[in-house]
Amino acid sequence: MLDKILFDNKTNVLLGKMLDRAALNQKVISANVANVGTPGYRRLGVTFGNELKNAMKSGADKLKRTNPKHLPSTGRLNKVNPEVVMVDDGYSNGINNVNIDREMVEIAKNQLDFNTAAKLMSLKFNQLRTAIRGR
Amino acid sequence: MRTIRNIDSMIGGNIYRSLDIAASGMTTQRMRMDAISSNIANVSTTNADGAGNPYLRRHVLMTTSPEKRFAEVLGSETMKLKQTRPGHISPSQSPKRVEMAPLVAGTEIEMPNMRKNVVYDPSHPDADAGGFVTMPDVNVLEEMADLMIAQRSFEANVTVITAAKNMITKSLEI
Repeated sequence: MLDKILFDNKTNVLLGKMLDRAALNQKVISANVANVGTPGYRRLGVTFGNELKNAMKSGADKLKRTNPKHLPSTGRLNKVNPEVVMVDDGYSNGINNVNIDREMVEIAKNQLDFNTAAKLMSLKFNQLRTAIRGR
Repeated sequence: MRTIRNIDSMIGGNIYRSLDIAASGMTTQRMRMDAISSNIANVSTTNADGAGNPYLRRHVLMTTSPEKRFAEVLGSETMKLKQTRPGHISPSQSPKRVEMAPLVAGTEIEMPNMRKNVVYDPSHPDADAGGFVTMPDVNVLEEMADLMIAQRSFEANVTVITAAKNMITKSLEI
């Protein structure tokens, strides 16, 4: 019960997903950069597609909230995972569709995504810590 | 594995827009560098197509991407407002819809040979009936100047990326 209140709320689950995505994206970008000269390689990307959006919107869970004080379930959100996809954006570097400048910027963006999520997570836990200390 | 057309970053295009724009700038400047190095390397290529025609100078045309389409322009121009009183502001003075800052895209084109560079060399295999050989219309000095511009523009885009990154990082410290 306690861990449900403390850790399984929507904010933490979403921030966790964001960190997952950033971690996976880092691997995918490394793969793209490593394969910049591989003929026939297709650039990879990471996406949640519409799944995360739908899971957030629907909030459809098997548990019914009959009292406004019931905690919302994050059951469906937990099951959404980032997916690796091939990206076909029409770019060509003559060998494949990896654009090295773009990959460099993607690394920067991904780092910022990760830092943002980590920062928000730490703020969230600081709130908890303040509540526990009671001052 | 699924194939998709394009990918949006998680926080959305807004705070990363400047990064995307600078990346497109870097890509086009790189393209320009390719064209310039090709021009310099082929400065005396008299037979570029196997038929004795000289190398044609490459040039990268810069366009905004996405280009403003006719429908967009039309949509932003016509505001369906009527002036029923003299105090009303006329529709043409009303604020226009703000467009997102566009990226840049480059298209490599071949410039036509102006035949300015003709030398008399009857023994040359690519000489015409009069004994003249048409050399590529490439001015190495111009190419060197272009090369410097491309290099500096690339650096400018890198500076933009660094600044944008620092701004976002700084905002995390609030």
